[in-house]
Amino acid sequence: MKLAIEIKDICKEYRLGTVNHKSFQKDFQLYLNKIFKAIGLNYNNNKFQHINEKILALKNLSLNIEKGKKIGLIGKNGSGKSTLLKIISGITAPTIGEVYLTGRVSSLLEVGVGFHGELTGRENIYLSGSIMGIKKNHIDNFVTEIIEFSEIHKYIDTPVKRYSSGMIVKLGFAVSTIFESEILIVDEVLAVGDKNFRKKAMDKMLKICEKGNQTVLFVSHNMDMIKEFCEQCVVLEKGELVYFGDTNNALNVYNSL
Amino acid sequence: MLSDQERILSSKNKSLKEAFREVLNSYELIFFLVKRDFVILYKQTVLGPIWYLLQPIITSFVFLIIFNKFAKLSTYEIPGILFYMIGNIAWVFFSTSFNSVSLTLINNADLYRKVYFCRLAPPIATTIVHLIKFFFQFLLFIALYLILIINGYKTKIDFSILYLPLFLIHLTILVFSIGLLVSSVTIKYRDLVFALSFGVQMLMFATPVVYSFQSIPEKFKFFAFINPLMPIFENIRNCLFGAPFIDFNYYLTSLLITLIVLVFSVKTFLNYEKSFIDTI
Repeated sequence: MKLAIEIKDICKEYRLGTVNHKSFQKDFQLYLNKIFKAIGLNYNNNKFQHINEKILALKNLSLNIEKGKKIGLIGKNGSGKSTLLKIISGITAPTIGEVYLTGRVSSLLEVGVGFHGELTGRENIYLSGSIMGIKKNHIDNFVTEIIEFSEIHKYIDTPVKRYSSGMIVKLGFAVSTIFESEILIVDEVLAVGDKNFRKKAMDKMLKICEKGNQTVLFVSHNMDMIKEFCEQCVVLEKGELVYFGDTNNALNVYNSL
Repeated sequence: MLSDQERILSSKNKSLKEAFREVLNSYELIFFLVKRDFVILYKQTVLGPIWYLLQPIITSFVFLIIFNKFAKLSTYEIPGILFYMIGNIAWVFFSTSFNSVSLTLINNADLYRKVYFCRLAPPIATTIVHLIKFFFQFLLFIALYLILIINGYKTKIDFSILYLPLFLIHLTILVFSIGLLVSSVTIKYRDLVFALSFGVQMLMFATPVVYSFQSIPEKFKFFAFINPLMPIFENIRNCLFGAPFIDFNYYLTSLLITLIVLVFSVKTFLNYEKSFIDTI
C-alpha cells in the first residue's frame, strides 16, 4: 500500500517564557559563544541558561499513514495533537526529523483562512482558495458549488463583515472542503454552525470518507464521531505515540490513560 | 487539482532556486493579495486613488518653498516643482514600502499561522502594491511635466529616459531586500521596527531628494559609495530631464550592494520562514 504521510522520528521544541531583554541577553550570549568557538577560544558562559528553557511538544514520533485511510487523532489537551497537525500542514517545521507527504494538504484547522471582512463573499472565495494553493481557473469551476453549499446566494456580493458568524463559518467550510486534496486535516470544526448545516457538513465528511482516495486526519474530543468516521486511531500522550491501530482498541487505550 | 507531487518537510532550508520556483508558481496568490490590499484601501471612499495624488502635490510645493525659495538650493535648470515631485514620490515609495514590507510578517501572522502557502508571497505583494501607488503618482508627475512644456518649458529630455525602468526595478529590488531582511530580524525582537522607521526619516537627508548630487561638496561625494540610494535617486531624476548620469562607479557600487543584500536577505528569510510562527 502506498503511503500518504510518512513521519520519521520528528521532535518539536518550543521555548518557554517571554521574549524580553533577558532572552535577548541569552541569545546574545549564545551568539558570542558561537563566535568564540569559531575562532578557537573555549569560552562558555552559562549565566543565562535558566532563561527560556525548552520543552519538547513531540518526542521522536514516527508514523506511517497509508493512502486513503481515515485516521482519528486522540489525546488529552497538550498531548501534541495540534503540533503534529501544524507540522503535517507545513505551517511550522519539525526541529528534528522529516515528514514525507504525497499530494496537497488542506486543513480545516480553522475555517475561513485569509477571509477579510472588507471583501465580498466572492472575493474571499478567490483569495482563500489561492492561499490554499488552488489555481484560479479551478476556483472558477467551483464557485457556484461553493455558493450553493454555503447557502448564501443573496449575500455573495456583500462584504463578509456584514455576515453573521454562522454564515462566515458556512462559507469557510465550503471553501475548504470543496477543493479536493489528497490529505485532509479536520480539527473539530463541525462543532460550529446551526443544526441543519452541521448535518450537511457531516454528510460532506462522510462522502469524502466513502470516496476512499482521500486521506483524512480527524481530531476530536467527541468519541462517537471518531468511532463513526475513523478506521484507525493514533493515541498521543505528552508528545509520544502511545498506540496506533484499530479504533476500538485505541479508544480503550485512551480511556485508560 | 490532484497531484502525486511528493514533498519533504524538515528543518532544512529551501535553496534559492526552490524558493524562486515557488514564488513563480504563486503568481496568482500574489495577484489576489495585491487585489485585497487595494480593495481594502479604497472600500467606502468616494475619491479612491485620487487621495494619493493630493499628497505629493502638497509636499512638492512645501519642498519648493522651503528648499528652493528659502534655502536657495539650486535645482540645476530643472523646474523646481518637477524636481521636488519626482524626488518626493520616489522617496515616498521607498519609505512606505520599506515600512510595510518590514511589517508584513507581523501583520499577516494570523494567516501564516493557519495554512501553508508561499511565505514570500505577502512581502512581494506588499512591494507591488506600493509600486502601483507609485505609478499613479508618476502619472500625475507626467501630467505636470506636459503642462509645463505646453507653457514654454524647454526640456532637454533625450533617449536616456529609456533607462528609467531599470532604475525603478533597481530601487524596487533594494527596498524589497532590506524590508525582507528587517522583517526576518524583527520576528523575535521588534525594537528594530521603531529604530528603523526613525532611521528612514533621517536617511532622506542623506539621499538626493530635496537637493541635487551636484550640490554636495566634493569631499562628501564619497557618500554615494556608502548609500546605495544616492545613485539611484540621482539617476531616476536625471534620466527624466536629460541631465548627465552620476559617475558610473557610484551606480555600479549601488547595484552590487543591492544584489548582495538581495541574496543575503532572501537567505536569511529562508532560514527563519520554516518556524517563525512559533516565535512571532
